[in-house]
Amino acid sequence: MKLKGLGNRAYNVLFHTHTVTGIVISFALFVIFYAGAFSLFRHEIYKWENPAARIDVPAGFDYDRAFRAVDEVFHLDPHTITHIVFPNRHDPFFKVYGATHDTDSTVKRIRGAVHPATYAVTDLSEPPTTVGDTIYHLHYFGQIPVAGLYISGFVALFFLFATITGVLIHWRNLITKFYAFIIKGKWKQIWTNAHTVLGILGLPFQVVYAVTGAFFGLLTLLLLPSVLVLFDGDRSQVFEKARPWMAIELDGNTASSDNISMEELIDHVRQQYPHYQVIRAIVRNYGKTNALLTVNIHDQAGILASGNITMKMKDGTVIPEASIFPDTKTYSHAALELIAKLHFANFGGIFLKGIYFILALITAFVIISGILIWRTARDNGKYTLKQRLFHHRVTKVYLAICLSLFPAFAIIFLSNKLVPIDLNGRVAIVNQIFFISWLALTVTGLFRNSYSRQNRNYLLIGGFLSLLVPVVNGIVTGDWFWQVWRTLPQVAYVDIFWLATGVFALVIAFKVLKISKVKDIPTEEKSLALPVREKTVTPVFQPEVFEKP
Amino acid sequence: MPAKSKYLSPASKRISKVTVAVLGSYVLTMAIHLAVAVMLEDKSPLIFTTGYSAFFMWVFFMVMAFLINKAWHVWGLYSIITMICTAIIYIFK
Repeated sequence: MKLKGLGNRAYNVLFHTHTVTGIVISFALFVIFYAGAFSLFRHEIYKWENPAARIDVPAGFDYDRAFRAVDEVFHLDPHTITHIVFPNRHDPFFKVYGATHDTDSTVKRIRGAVHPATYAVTDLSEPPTTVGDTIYHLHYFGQIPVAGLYISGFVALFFLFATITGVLIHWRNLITKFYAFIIKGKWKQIWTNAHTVLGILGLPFQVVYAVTGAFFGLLTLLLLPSVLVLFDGDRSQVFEKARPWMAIELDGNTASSDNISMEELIDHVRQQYPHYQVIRAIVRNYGKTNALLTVNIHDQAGILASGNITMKMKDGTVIPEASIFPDTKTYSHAALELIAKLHFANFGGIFLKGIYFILALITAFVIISGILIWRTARDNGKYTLKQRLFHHRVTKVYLAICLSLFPAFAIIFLSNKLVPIDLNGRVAIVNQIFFISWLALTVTGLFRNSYSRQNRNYLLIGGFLSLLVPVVNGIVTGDWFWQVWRTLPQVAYVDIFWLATGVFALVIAFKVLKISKVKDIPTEEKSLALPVREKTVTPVFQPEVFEKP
Repeated sequence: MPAKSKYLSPASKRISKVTVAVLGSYVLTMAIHLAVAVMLEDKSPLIFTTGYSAFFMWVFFMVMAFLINKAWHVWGLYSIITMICTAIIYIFK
């Protein structure tokens, strides 16, 4: 069954834009999707990352005592908005993000974590581990200051463009392609089928990610004109609409007061919303008569099921205009929450994250197959040897960058365990090991002129390193996954994931993959073997050929 | 399989096309959103809608910019709509 497709010119023009956009953003988009797939679980892997976090929060843990402990160490400035993250099953530490007044006017940002049993405070400006965070920052190129986020935003925007032009050019064969699970025939045909079938199957997911990703990366570009035209350049007005508790002006010079404890106020919220969990809170003017507490709650299930309840700490009255209630929120607040939830996948439990993970990897595969279509379609006599060598080099570099990320991720997990936990500056060392080994793996891949061999080698290295992850974790921390899967499931699951990945990668590398003996580097003979040149075709005597696949 | 070059714009015109497709579409998208916003009493729902609608519109205009044959037609069309929107913003504000 054929649908009515585009006309000849429209087809070719959009096909060209699809190809050019795709090949330009492909490797960056691959990194975004691959790192993003792992970032989905960055909170879930925290207990694996940090052996000190493999503890339970004792019953009766006192939030106010923990907050005061941070205050004693850092001398918090109460007037600065202070964020609190409460202990949860993935991370037992009580965390405070605020600011401190040094002497006169200099404000210094502080980050502190409180141990749930001993109430000892650690400075989080040098965190003990950042595997999840490093991967998460890589996901939006956060390692490049300022520009990284914008680059990732534009990559997402052009990804939306490539997705939509892709649907348009395949429109005619959309229904037949939907069933084209064929892995026979010429390589060009195999890559094309894989690209279109998986591209169409993953289409809703890809559109969601392109739009929400562009939203996070390019938010400033969207807000800037609105702020300038509608709010006379006052940025805070827009942010206060999104976060109404920030709209309340608080006098910093009020008297100290004996307020209701944070614990009691949060208990009150828990009674009001029994199925919800208390995730975070924002405190302003703690210990003053006008102190405010905004409690963020979430039921971890619904796509619009989070809320922020703002209370006066003096008497516990709820301020409705500064709160977002989970069941009665406005369209504006729902829209923002929806964009964030769809992006971070935190609305359907671990199963949903698993589906997201698989869809992200499928999208990464669509990107790789796109690169290979681009190259295979150009490996013929229509192109000069120089052009074809260029196509080959681009493909080789792109594949090396993308495929070496698998062993490099195994390396960051390994180095997290191999660099001693109490070593000063260990986070920087772990990150350097990761980035340098990614670079080294990429460079070594460039010496191979056979894509299948290059791919097999990365799978072999990655597979062996993956198998080492649970072993090294067991040796270094003593928590072997078969011993702790009941008590520390978050730790055991990471080990089991890497074990399964390692076995899977090695089976594919040894049993499934067929290594082609022919090198992929273009040669002169191959160029001459296909002397079909576009210029020799005289269009005047040619019937109108419908030039579609 | 690669697109037939006889249908594509000559290389010299492509810079103009790409510029209007990316920048022109952005300006046009924001102008349309703002023109609607100035006419509304409560602006906040539209500002949050912009968070997703702007990208769809931006990409739609990008596609249109490539589909319209001549680059100066796109420049002309997009400029006219942007100017109309600017006038609306100026009148209603």
